[in-house]
Amino acid sequence: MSADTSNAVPDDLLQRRAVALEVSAWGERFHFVQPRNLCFWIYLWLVGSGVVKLVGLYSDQVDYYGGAISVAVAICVVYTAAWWWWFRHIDRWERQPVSLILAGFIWGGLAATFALAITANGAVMSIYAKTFGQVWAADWQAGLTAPFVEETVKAAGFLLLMGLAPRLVRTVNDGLVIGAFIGLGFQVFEDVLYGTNAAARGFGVDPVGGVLSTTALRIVSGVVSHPLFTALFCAGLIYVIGTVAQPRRIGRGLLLIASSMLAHGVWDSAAALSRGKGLAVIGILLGIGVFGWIVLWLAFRLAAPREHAFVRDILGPEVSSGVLTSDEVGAVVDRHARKAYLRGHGRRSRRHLLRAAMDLCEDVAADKGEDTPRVEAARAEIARFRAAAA
Amino acid sequence: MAGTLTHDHHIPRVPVEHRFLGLDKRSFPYAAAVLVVWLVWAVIVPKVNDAIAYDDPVVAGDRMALTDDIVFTPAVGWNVTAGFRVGEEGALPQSGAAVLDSGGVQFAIVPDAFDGTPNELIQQINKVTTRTTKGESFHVTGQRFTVTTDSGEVGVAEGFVSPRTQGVIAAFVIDGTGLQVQVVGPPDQISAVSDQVTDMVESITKTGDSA
Repeated sequence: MSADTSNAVPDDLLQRRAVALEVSAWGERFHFVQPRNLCFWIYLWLVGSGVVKLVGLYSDQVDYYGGAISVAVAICVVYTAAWWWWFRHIDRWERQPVSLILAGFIWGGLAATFALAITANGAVMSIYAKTFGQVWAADWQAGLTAPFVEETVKAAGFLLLMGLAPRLVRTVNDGLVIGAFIGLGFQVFEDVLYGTNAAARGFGVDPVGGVLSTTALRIVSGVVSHPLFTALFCAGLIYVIGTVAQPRRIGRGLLLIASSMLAHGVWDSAAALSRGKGLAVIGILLGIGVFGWIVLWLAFRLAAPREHAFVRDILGPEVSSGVLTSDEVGAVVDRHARKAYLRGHGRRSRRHLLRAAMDLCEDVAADKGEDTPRVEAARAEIARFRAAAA
Repeated sequence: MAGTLTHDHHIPRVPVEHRFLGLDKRSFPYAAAVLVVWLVWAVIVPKVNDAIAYDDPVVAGDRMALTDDIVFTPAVGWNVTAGFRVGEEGALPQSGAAVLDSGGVQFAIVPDAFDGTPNELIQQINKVTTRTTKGESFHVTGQRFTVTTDSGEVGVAEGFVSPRTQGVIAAFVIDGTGLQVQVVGPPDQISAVSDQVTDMVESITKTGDSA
């Protein structure tokens, strides 16, 4: 089936589509190189500083610990690939350009970690030790440093990306997804750093063994770590700042930011809070992990209606012209409607049809609502799956 | 679209009303916020830290906990810059590396698991140090000699020199725990506190009770 939406579709639906495309900016590309944008130069400067710091840290270590560092890097590459795939999977409405999320990942890994956090963490922890004593500092310094230092330096990268791509970074969903990638970059490079430090344990007799044990622990604990904290923090920033696509909601934003910092602080202080009791440590870690994931789930739930509205408005003319049915659009955006739609025979083709409907949504956005050959091909795919499902 | 920072196929000219020195003023608030983050964490806080001196002098009766059951007695008046005193109450039992300084001399003991002899430990320390300070010309000086603590623990020690510092390294192995003892500083200053350093090394002991 093919349809020329421009002839048969009421003007108000086309107008709503145009507004949705303008507000969502779906389909737009990201240009990283922007010499007229101050954020571009600050990004380059701080990422460059991070690279210099990283090289300075590792250049002397490579000769003796090279094998261990390679093992840590190899493990972290696999780890990154797994999380990367999942974050792309949950970014289901209009995937952010790869160059944009890569910029976020690199900020988290190089600028946030090496140019800012290492220096700041060391200084804050040293101030704690000088002011409150070594014992107090050992107990609480991690939990009272990382949430403030690390969350703000990661969020700084998100602000730069808002300045570099103000049309692409404007919904809470954008904050969640891009924040997760910034956090992933931070997590992975920090894991390599921790792994390398562990290589020196036991006077460096068994560097690879030290890396393996530490990296394994970090991977397990990574389920509740920087990607989660940063996703919440950046979603909160979107609410606090407010954008064309997301009216300012300061209270909600501050709650998300506070949740991120609370989860980070409690996670890092679990041993001290439990006074070292094994079961209590596990209980606190589980509790704060569940808390973090529930808040993340709520944040996605709160973000979803905005994205659903974009999908409905962009695909509205397709329903009017008969390319899609309202049930199919409903099934695209709503989980319960999707379950109901997929019941019965032709389930596989129906699932494909829904995926094809999202493809059509992406193509309409990319081609600014024009009836291009690509959009016509997407419509033809839907017709093909409908025929198969019948 | 005019006035946006990004565009499908090219970067648009910055609208006149948004230009300042050729830059897009709309990027300034984001850039300024990031500069504030940088200023606070990379400049102000480290300077505040530098301005605060360690003021934690050892008093008579102090002992430092290197592990649950290995301790040493620091010299009175030396400043503790890292490490935990025996008996200090915190949320967690604390022990670990200790670092003290006095008059430009730094005295540090790092405990860690080690399965071998003191000679093997000091060889391992030298191997790692040599290969992780390439170009720094780390050199052992003089003959390796035996060090015995008051409690009878036997270790080995030797001098070293590098372009940046010089001093003495000693190694002990006590029931599977290696101790790397390092004293660094200007030669004259080390000589001035050599008796105190010797006393600290000789005070290393394994206690019967948990620290």
